[in-house]
Amino acid sequence: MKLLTISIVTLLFSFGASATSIFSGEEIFKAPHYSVPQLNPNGKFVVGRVNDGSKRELVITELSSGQQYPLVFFAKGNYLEEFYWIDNDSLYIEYRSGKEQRKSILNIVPNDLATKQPTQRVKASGHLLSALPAKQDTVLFLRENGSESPTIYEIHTDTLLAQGFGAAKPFSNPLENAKGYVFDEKNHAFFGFTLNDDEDAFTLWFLANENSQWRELYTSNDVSHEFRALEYIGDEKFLILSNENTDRVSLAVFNLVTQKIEKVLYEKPQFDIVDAEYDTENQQLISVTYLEHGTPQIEYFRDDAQDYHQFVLESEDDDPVYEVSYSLDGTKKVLFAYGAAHPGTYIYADEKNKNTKLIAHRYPNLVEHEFAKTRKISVTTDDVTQDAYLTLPYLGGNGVLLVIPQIISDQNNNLTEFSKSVQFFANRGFTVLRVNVDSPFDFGEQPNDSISINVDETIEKRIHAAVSEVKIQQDISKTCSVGGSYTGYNAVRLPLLYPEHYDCVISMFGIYDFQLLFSGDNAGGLNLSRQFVKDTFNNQGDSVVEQSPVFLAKNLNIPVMLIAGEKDDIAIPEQTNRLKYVLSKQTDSLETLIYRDVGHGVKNWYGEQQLHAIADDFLRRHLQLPKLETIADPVEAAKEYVKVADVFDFDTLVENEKPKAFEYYVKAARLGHPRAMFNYGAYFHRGEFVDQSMEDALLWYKKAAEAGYASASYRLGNLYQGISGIDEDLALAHKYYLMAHDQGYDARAGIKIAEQLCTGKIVEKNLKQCLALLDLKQIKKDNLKNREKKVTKASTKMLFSILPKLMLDNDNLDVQNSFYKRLVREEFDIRNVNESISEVRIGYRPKNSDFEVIRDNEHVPAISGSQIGFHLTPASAHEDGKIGLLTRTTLIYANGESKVIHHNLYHKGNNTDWKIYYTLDEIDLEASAIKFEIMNINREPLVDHTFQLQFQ
Amino acid sequence: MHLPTNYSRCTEFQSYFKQRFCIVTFSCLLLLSGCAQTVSSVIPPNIHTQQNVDSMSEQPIDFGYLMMAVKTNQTIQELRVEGPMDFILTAKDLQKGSNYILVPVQEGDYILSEIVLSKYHKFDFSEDDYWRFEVKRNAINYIGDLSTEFHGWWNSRIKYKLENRSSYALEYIEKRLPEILLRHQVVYGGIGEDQFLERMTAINLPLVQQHNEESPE
Repeated sequence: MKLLTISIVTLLFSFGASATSIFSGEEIFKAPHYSVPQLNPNGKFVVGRVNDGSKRELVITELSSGQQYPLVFFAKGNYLEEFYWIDNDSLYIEYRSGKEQRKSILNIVPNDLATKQPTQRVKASGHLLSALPAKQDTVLFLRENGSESPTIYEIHTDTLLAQGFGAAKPFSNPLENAKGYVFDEKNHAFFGFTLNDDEDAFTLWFLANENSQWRELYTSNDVSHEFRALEYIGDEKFLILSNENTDRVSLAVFNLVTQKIEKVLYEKPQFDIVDAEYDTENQQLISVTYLEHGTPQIEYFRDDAQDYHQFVLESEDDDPVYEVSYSLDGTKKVLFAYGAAHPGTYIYADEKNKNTKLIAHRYPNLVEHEFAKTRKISVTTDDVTQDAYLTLPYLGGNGVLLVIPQIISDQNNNLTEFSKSVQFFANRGFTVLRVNVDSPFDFGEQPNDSISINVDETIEKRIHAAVSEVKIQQDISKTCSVGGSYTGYNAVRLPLLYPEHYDCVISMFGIYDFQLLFSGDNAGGLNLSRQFVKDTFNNQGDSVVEQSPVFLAKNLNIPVMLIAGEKDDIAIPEQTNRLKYVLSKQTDSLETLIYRDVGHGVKNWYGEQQLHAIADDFLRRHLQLPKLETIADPVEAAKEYVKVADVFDFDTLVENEKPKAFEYYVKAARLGHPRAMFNYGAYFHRGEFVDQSMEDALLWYKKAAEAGYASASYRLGNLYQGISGIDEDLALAHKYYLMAHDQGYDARAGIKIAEQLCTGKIVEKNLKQCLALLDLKQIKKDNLKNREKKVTKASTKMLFSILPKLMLDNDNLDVQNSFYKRLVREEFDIRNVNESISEVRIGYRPKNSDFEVIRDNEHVPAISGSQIGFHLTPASAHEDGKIGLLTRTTLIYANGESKVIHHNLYHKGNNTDWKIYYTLDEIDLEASAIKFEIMNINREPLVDHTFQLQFQ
Repeated sequence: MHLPTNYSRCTEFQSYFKQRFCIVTFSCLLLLSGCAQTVSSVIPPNIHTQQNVDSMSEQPIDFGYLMMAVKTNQTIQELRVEGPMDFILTAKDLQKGSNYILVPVQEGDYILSEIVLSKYHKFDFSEDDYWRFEVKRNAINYIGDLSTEFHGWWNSRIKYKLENRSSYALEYIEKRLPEILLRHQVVYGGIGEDQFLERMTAINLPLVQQHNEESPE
């Protein structure tokens, strides 16, 4: 074991050694790069998920060589749900493609992992109940039968692939009218569920073994609640997942006899628990799985790898090491080293051969970073010991203590959990104190024994004791309370009760008015619930309403940031708006953000990055801390300012705050952020929040373009084409289009370049390059290979106007014409190039009205939104391919001059009448007429009509 | 197990707190009352500036004002209300979108009994206690924001709830109809107990009381 120990020390010491920089939210608030590794039964390969933001795949590691190979790539819209080893060389995967669930079996070819592994789709409807790892090539499959009850089969994988269910033996003891089943792998038991006739109640059933009787476990009259059994843990008790007593789906123990949830074992405040592993013998939780913004995360609790722990004690860290996957004989393992200051490393250990190997770091990008350590402090108040967890900054503290009340279950352990949020703040110099508190109430849930509404000052008193202790030990000059959900209430109450000790408050998705818990909507306000609340309140006297922060807030005169979600049905936005209403009457230091499309917490990693950037910025501004760019890389600081700006600019909030967005874009622009510089240019361009200045707009657009921002380069290209009052400079326009193209702008930049290459006006004519840039079909194909998407709707639309322009306005050689025709044929399937017309109706179409035929020389009102146009009847029918027409629109001025203003390519696939309209929009008042020409693809004129304009 | 059901039937309100939405399946119902009168909001639809609602002081002494917001994804044809005086709010005030409504009605206990979306789509709440509300005389009685989401035609379903967004209502009154606060107390009249409006507008109470005392009986 010594050899093993030493080598693991080496592996882990590669983590967290040197870097002492401020890291950005982008670096830490992201999905794990590597997660959920699973060893195959003989322990020779391990498969894990990889997510690097743009690429999601399964990778296989050959443990003999340590070599890693991509196994399955998941394109956009496809999401891996689960995977299991069926045997040593077969991997079963379930993934979602759009709304469709797909299943495949990968046959691993051990000697040829570098090539694509053969894959077979499982077409049978249903899903895997168990991979039955002890049985070679055999699985337990739940086959769905349309509206009938599903059937369980223990089936050979070949039979499953062939859908040969007729040859397979169905489960002998099915549950009558079952809607679904869950397999208890450990006990080889089954759970099934049924619905009542109205489908508004469900019953969960239990079958201890195939030969026993189904027993009714639990009936719920509320199908909106989750209640899922995982396993039988003895003594008539079951491990279940449920949100009956908690806001999120939590892991709990259910007692069949009492029909009650005995104990919540684990709850994650922000995420639902989806699976768990439990040691029945020792009644100890081993792990839970939850979905963190869509990625499964496993948290481990049993530091049972004592041998590995030896190494931990030898190192400076006291991180536990967990066993997370085993070979069938148990001698080969995947270990996971993880701790409060350690984001996690997966290690392969072969006990027999005393061999270890690094499989992957969970966050490779964080390997170079150091992280703050957390220690437990205990403070005794009124004979009650209060646990708290103190995390100290390690790059020099800023003297600010963040006090975070938290409600955690017994199993949570702040000493072993890597908290991204805590590390984010500690890295920036904040001292973080997390104090465990009891829930002040279980609001929003059914009445049960555990409900209590604790509104006296006990909780805050205990928190304050911990805070006082820290203030004695550490150099703290300012203190802010930070809370969310239940503890948002505590976060606001702390400065109300101890005003001289707090300098600001940040509260997210919080509760601030007790009464509103029971009058939030007309379901919560029912008489029965009111009676219940009244009873509960009366336990503590009538003053309970008075304790609501909303009614005490008149004493709160420090900066407060409130964050809420408009779609939060736990802490409804009215809670936050009430506190905002009260505070806004008395302070200018209130900042409220109510997210438009967010419930009880942000939805994704980008949301986490934004939220933390906003909080950090709030603290810096109100506590007079150094600006972020003075302590962090200015490039990273600029990125955070842009994240803050985006919150105020992108309809993220119920009410946009454009001036704030402007303020933060400018900050970021001054630090050289490309998109922010472009936006700053756009503010000058529009004259929004600044005096309109094309000179400044160009200045900032150019800075953004030089910094590589493709949109800026493209806009400059457009501007130098003579739009928006800039002198036309086609050479400069061409230069910027080239830049935009090189910087990855969509196919429009290429089309603009192609225009010059085809005409040869600015650059040397090059038809081959021109064609390549106009050939959107080929570009699309190439993009697929490179996982790019340059052919946008806008670029296709542009091709419709550029092609006719090239075909009609240039002296084209025959070779060029055939080139365009080929393009028209290949891009739009237009095969009929010599369309002719038998009848032409010229007309006018007032806005929101029907087409009216007009006389040849009749004037048309030049009203914006109205249309001029033609109804054309084809002279002959066409059989194959589409038919195309080219149009050119020219403004005619009274002095005889003219200007081509529009080209278009029309195509359709049948012989019905053509209906071609041109919308009059901001017509030049100097114009007297509009000339409209229609030609077939051979450029033979079909219609040439001039509409005389009549201005109102 | 988690069943993918966002809807539940109103008649089976098993959970007092979690159940946020109800569904009523398509049904053709008899008209509840032939004698209900049509009433209109005194707030012009979609006002965006401060308004002077002069007519508010001209109501009978035993009248108060019902205030609610309607947020709907489809114009509601009628909202029928039963109580001391039966009345009907019409499509004029119940347009698709979001709008506040302020209606003078006789004091007393009411029930929001029926939503009529069309000749074929009527949703009856008259048996459900949680659509009850109270109107106090001379007060602005905010009863909630009626939120309805109607989907489907042949297999119609509607999600609806009355959300207590008192602070938003108060902000609206302060911004658009500030003079109301000088003459009328604003109270919560919806289901459940909530003192927020009364306490927040308590500063105006002396004025309101004075106004009440001076009103002829």
